[in-house]
Amino acid sequence: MRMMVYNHFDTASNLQESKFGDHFVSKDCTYEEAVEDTIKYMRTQYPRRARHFDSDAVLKKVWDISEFAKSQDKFYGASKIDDVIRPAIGSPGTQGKEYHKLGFDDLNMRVNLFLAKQGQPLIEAGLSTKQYEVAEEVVDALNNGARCILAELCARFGKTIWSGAVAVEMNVDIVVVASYVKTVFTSFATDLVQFQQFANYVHVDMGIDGYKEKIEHALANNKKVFAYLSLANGTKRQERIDYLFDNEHSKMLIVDEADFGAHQIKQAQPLIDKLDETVYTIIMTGTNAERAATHWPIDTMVSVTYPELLIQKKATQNASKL
Amino acid sequence: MLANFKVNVKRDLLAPDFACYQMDLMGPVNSAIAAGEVDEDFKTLPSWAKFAANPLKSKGFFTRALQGLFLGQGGHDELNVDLQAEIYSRDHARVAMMFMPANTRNDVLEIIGNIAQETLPGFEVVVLCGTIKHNGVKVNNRKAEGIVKSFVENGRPVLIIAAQMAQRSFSIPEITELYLAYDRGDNGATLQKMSRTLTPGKEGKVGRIFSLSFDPNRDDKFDAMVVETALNYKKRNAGKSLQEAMRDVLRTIDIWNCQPNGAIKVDIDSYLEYALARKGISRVLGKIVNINLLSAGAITALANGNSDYFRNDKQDKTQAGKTRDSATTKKSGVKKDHSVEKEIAKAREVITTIIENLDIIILGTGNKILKDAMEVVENDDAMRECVEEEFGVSTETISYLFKQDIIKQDWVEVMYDNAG
Repeated sequence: MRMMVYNHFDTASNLQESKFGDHFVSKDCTYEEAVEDTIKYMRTQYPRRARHFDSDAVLKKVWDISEFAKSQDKFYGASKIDDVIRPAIGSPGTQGKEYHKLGFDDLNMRVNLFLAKQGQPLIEAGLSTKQYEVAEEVVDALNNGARCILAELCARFGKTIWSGAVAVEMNVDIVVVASYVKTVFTSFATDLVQFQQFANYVHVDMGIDGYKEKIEHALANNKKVFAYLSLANGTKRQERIDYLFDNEHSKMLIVDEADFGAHQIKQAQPLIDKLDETVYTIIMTGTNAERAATHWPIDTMVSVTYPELLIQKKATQNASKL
Repeated sequence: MLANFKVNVKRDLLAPDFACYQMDLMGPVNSAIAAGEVDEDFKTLPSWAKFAANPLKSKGFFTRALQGLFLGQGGHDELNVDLQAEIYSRDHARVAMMFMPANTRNDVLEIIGNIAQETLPGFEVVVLCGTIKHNGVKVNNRKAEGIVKSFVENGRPVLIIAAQMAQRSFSIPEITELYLAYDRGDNGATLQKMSRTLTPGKEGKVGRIFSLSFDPNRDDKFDAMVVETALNYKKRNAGKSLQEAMRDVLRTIDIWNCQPNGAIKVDIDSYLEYALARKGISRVLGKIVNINLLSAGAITALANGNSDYFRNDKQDKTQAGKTRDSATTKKSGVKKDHSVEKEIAKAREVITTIIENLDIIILGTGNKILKDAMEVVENDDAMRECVEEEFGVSTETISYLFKQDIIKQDWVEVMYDNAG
């Protein structure tokens, strides 16, 4: 038996609301079977529009919250465990109490953060073979004295989870994710919070007031921090950089989309000035590695092209046939 | 071994397959010339740059090309995508994206969009540039994806036309055809553009990339991907030579040559031969040279043609791998930094020229071992003079680059063991 909660979001709807509900799977089953059963249940909420539900236009996310439900004495059908989580989601919608005026990713992030706080085990992040190989290579290089890695990783490689994995392996207190492209931060926060390996991390947007308190509170409570730093040249940028780097905590700097804006000296130099033997740095880009690396003291480089992902895909397919 | 993460091989399977198609546009060009539909300039030497300068002057060519590609009309089966890719049916309406030359002006892109819409009335042609509004929404990079999604969801075939916009952070799973309608172009930007058809979609999705060229034998858009993959593959498969690595990679990437009777898979030896002839491989190698192996002094000397630097032992005292020291410690503002960037670019150019002309040394000395070949050159005054004249740099400079492993021995092997 498993207690599941779900989120679905119809991108074709003008209301732009996410639906969050629960579903109790009363038979013995694996996690995958429970997810399948929950999706079948969600599908019943689209009477006569099943094809639309099956299309990519309806985004879906399912969680197994059995442990949390047990801790709340709500491990049974119709226990309304979703309503226990609902206040943490907030932003009530207009279509009923199960709807929230939130985008799909926003709702997922709020639920993940809530579950992580409650100690409900999240799903474990697994890496693709290529991600694992390259993460191993970089961790080895960093452990052997390299400090600045140039990572040219193609589209669909999964740079976000990969660089997050390297940060977890290096066990640093503060991971600074810097970019000129702001959508990078949403991508990091929403991707990482769903996985157990990142449950002990607090995500802090350096653009908000009170970021210092948030970071200090996290570190004081034995948590670690992902700090999202915009490289757009605002008046407070230097102050934020000083705060993040001028302290005794162990640190990693990840510069994402490093060939876009971040390769310019005005953006790179304030960070380069803070690099020393204690800071691990990953300069990450999909293309134009030479441009991305222009100002950085690169020690070593890793690179993965799209055809390599296909070579690996074929190898995996062949291995599964054996 | 990682302490906190395991491999999940299911993730290996998420990358959609892709296939590359080399298309020759001379069919519609010749038809348009015969019908008097293009101007003299385009007629003499057709190019995408000329088309993008004034699409109305060569409208006849473009409409014929679009009819061939999307409708299979006009007797240009070498462009008939359904025939070339053997697409007999589709499980959703066709969604294609076409990138025009990067410097195409917004007003010109709008004209191109209008021509495409007139030619393909069954399609929704969606032009992505800053001067256009779709359903009252002005297009920008952030909104482009949402705008296109709304067209795709309508269920009609869609042709997206862009130049600069939507190269990154633009994910439409339904895009299965990607057209590169420009000549040459930056390798990095081409890879970004190609990736727009690699967003995972329905199970079994194949992203098809079509390079539309007026001279396919000189078209090097796929070369960067092949060479860089081979170099990475070799790094992880230490026993293999670069040549073997390239052959392995070419066995995995499907590159098709489009012919009137259907596409023919490009044979590995011919590909290598043509890639070498068009200097595609040497150009890519020049682009990926690890300039970090050079000291700041060596970069300056290379960029400025200062051969004296390489003749004395000064360079040995400069720490390599700290290329940017002089730039990063100065607080001299943007002007100075641009000059550093320019110097690096210039040094890279010099190295690329050396790689492109290595045949003078390799074939001239009859020696494929770089260091040995340079010894022969340096000990022969006539040869030395000839090399310095051809390369525009001293033989000491070239020897230095070989000794520092900036230009690698195995690159020579792939270039000269394959030469036809």
